[in-house]
This record gives sequence, structure tokens and C-alpha cells, in this order.
Amino acid sequence: MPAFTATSCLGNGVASLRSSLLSQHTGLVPCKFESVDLDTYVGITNITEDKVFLPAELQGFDCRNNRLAYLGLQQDGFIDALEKVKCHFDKTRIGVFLGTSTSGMLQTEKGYRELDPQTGALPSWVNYRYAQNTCSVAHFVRLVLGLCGPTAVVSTACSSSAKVFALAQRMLLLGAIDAAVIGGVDSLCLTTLYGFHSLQLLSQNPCKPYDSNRDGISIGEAAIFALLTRDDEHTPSGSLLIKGVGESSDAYHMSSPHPEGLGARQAMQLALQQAGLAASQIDYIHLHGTATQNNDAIESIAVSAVFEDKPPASSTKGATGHCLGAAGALNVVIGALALQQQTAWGSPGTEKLDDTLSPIHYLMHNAARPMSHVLSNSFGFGGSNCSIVLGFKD
Amino acid sequence: MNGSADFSEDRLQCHVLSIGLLGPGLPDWNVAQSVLGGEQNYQRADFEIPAVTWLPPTERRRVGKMVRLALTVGNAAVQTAAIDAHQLATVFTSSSGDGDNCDAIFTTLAHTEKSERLISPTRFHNSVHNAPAGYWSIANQCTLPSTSLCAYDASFAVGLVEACSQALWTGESILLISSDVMYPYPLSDMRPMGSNFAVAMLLNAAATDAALAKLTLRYAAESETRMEMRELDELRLSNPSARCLPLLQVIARKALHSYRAVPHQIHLEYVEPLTLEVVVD
Repeated sequence: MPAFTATSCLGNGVASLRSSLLSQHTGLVPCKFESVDLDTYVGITNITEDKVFLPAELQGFDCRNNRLAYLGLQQDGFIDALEKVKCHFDKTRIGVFLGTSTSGMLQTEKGYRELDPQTGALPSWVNYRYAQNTCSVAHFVRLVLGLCGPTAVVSTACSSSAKVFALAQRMLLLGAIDAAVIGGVDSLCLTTLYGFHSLQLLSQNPCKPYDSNRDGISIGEAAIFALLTRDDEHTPSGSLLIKGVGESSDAYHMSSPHPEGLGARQAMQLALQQAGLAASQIDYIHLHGTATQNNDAIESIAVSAVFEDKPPASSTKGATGHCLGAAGALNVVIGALALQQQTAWGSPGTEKLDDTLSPIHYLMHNAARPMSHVLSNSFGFGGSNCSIVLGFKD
Repeated sequence: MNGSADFSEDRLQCHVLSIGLLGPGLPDWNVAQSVLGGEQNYQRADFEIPAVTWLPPTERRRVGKMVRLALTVGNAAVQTAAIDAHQLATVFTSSSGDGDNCDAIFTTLAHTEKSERLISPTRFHNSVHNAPAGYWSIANQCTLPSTSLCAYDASFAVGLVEACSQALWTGESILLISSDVMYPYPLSDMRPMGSNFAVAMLLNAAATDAALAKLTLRYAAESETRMEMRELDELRLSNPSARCLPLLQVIARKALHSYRAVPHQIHLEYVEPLTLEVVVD
């Protein structure tokens, strides 16, 4: 993973994300988004909504999700890093695989308020293909980056942008591509805010993962991009590697995890197996930790079943919010920062650890420690699970 | 761009073990095989998407057309091959997702009063693109990995590449399900579709005696293959999942006329400027 970037409510780019994590700062604020009148907190980015933001030739793609993608691509020299890769490989052999759950549906949501009173038609500014369609963001990013290789969106709810790591890994190792731009972009919209509200899963506070008083999620938005290439003899020692990816299905319920965390357990075990590591070799677990009663309880059951040695573990969703379709990639990036900083992250927002949960070594505060391997969890609706092991090149 | 960017070493290859299909005038693979193989005339006929009687009753009540369509063709492919779906990883692909559900949510959210913006929880969890995958895994008690993709009009071909790459990666069979349903008005204005259509293909990396065909995939720059018959080409273009028809036609002809000698090459709609070349033999 030679390059990555992250834009979230903790700022544009990795430097800002890192300093926020080091100071255990939260980016969550009371929700004043759009016309939403819910009593909740959100992790909102600083994208502009009014003025022209996208280049003229890409105006057709204009929507909140693609603006966020565009903002994210400008950070951390990501485009320069890609330009270097483009010198080495054919542009048709660089893939673009992104996760999203929201796409640009906010635009269509607004369009439904302005249906033609006579015909019921949507206003002409609603663009189905380039905003609403689930693949819009991948199409957009591919054009911004001047690539013409394989492109797809993975949309498996909150595991979407973790699963793109698995897809890209297979394509790279089978020789079907030479490099991939992967990541996730998910933006605030009414469907997710009112949807989680309908499930009574929205917290009225900044979310408190693993807290005895946790009462639901705070929704965030983010744009995460990473560049993946094959690990070969040219990869410098000390480079960040995706060592293992594990995927599974709960086969239990559409919106509740398996009560014994079987799917989560299976995903973590498969990721370890692919990485060729024992559970005892994981130095920190970046948890999914959404802060709903059920999700945290079940993740703790699954983690304590797999990791007898109880490595430090925490969720950072109290800082970023739950970025849904971008959450998986954000979790991986924050895990990568933990490795780079040799710091296991604490849990902003968590005040009193829930001691009724299955026993895991939950970190409330940052802890500097030597680390070689980090495991990152992402679980989604439909029982879709994905765990990723990160490490360094020897 | 290199017109013939090849997979560097190992080409993406897989074998088709069985096919399930549901489209207008194409009620199952047997009929589709006769029609596409030229033994029977094509007669377009609208169809009802059947209920999924094998879903647990609680889930059965909650599913819309999209899930029913995807699960119906998936089940047909699994039944034909007499394979246990419990042990089968899946790749779902769709351009549309569940348009009826989407329309209902947007209609509710268009209300300005907070008290009226009450989405049903079931509608919300059904709004995820991986809803068919979730219901399929529950119905078949299958805990193996499943992914759900979207690539607009390239959704079928992108799903085929992903399923083939997973089959090679794991060495196990994998089920590809591609399905798209028509949007209700007013979304249908922006994304018109002429019909509902879904196809499922059970793929395996290794050859078996019963395999219908071997597929070799490669990116290409040639233009996409059309159906010779106008009605079938209209169907191909009327629904993203029906973009598979040129491939199914070659497989059908091979099965019926067993022209084994010459491999047949077609090009499927893929992400522009590429097409996906599929060599069938």
C-alpha cells in the first residue's frame, strides 16, 4: 500500500487525521445537516455545497458524494503518487474499486421534494447515472485520475470499502491488473440518517463505543483512497502491506449480527490464516465498534473467542463517526497510522467501559507500544463481514 | 491505450456448470437455450416474478421484486447443477438495486415535517445494495463470502470477472447472480428499462464432465457483440443484466450443436473504453 489518504470530519488529509487521533480529539458535532431535524451528532466534512467545485468537464457528476471524492483525491499528494505508478503500468491495467453505500442519493432525495406538480417528474437537475447510481463515484474517480482499467463499486453496506481490498488483492495476485486505486466514499444523506433513526440506532450524543452507556451510532462521512500494487522484490523494507483479508457472511439476519459473532469470528480467522499469523501475533485490533448495544456486545464475544492473549483493541468511531460505506477503508487507514506511529489508539468519547461485555483489552487512551501487525474489522447489514491484517515488509 | 491489454500470465478462465435465467419470453434456461440456439422463435412475453417459497416466512414477507428475482435465478442454477448452496460463495451484481424500495424511501423523505419522515425499518435494511446477498445467505444458511457489485451497464461483465477471479483464487465453485428490475416512475424516466431480467451462472475453476462451456476472459477494445435478432438485441440493451445475452447465445449453440472445434469469441459491454472479450470453448 504505497500511498493512502483520508478526508473525514477530522480534517482533509492524513496529517490532520493523525494529529486528531494523537490528541484524542472528536470531530462529531450536533447535526445541522440539510433539513434534518434529528437529535443526533454527525461527523461532517468541510466540503462546500454552493459554489462550483468540480472541473468543468466533470460537472455532470456534481453531487455531495463526488465532491467529497474530489476533495479527498487532492490530499496527501495522492494524485502525484498515482502519476508515478502510471509511468510504470498501462492505464488499462490500473483498476478503480471503491466502496459506497450512499452514492450521490442526496441529490435524488432533494429532487423528490420538487417533483413536477402536474406530471410527477423529477427535476432535470437530478442526474441518475452520474450521481444516484451506485457506481457513479468509481466512474468519477476513474475520470479524474485519467485511468481506463477495470472499475467497480462494491456495495455491501458498512463492509463495502473493506471488501475492495479483497477484490483488488485477488485481481493483483492473479495478474489481471498491475495496480489499483481502492477506497471508499460515503456522504451524509437523509436515507441513512432517518433510516438508522427508524431502527432506533442513532445516538443523541457523540457515540460512545464499548461504553456502558452507549446508545447508538453517530453517522459520519469520509473519502478514503489507497494505492495498491503487488509486493515484489522492489518493495522497500518497512513498506505497509495488506497481509491478509478475510470475508464471511452471517447468514442470520439483515440488520442484526449473529448472536455468537460467528461471521465476525470467521472473518478474523480467515484474515489471520491468509496472513500466516497466529492470533497472538496481532498487536492491536482496530474494532468495528459502532457503539450500538448489540454490535459492540457481539464483536466483543467474537474478539475474545479468537484472541486468547487479549491484544489491545479499540474503536475510533467516537472521533470519526460511523462512515458506513467508507468505514472499512477508514478503519484500515487508521490501523495503518497506528502501525506508523507505533501507537494503539484510544477510544474518544468512551467514558466508562462496559464491564458486562466479553473480556477484551479495550483501550480508553492512546498507548505507545511496539507493533508489527494490526487487524481491522468491518461488519455490515446483510451479515457482511470483512477483517484485514496490516503489517510491514521485512 | 493498448487495445489488447492482456492478463499478464494466468488468464482468467473458468467453466460454466449451470445457468439460471428469467426474462421476458425466457422463463428458464431450457427455453432460453432453444431460443438462443435458433431452435425456437423468440416471443417476448411479460412475466411475474415468483415468490421465493423457500425463504423463511419472516423474511419472505419482507422481500420485494429485486430479491425475489435474484434468488429465483440463483436457485435455478443451483438446482440444475444439484449443488448444495450452503457451501457456495456468491457474487451478486446489479446496476439498479431495488427501485421500488428506493422510490418509497425517497417519497417518505420528501415530506418536510419531521413526524412524516418515518421510514420503515424493513425498508431501510432492504435498501442496501447487498440485500439479495443477505437474504440468499439466510435462506441457504451459507456463511461463505459474498460480494455485491455495481458498474452501471457493465455490471454483468464486472460480476463475471469478479466471480471468475474468486473461482481461480479459492479453487471452489462460485455462483454469479446478475439482476436488474425496472424502476417505478419517476425514476424510470431517468433510467428506463424495458423489462426485468436476471441471470445466474455457477462457475468453477476446474473442468467437470457436465460443464456447459469454458470461458476465457480478457479486456479488449473491440466493440460489443450484438444479437443478430433485433428483438433479442433490444432485450440485451433494455436491461443491464441482459447484456449477458451474446455469451448465453454462444453457450446455447455450443450445447445444442456441439460445435466444439472452433472457439467462439464475443465481446460484452464492460467499462468504457474496454469491452470484455470472452472466448467460449
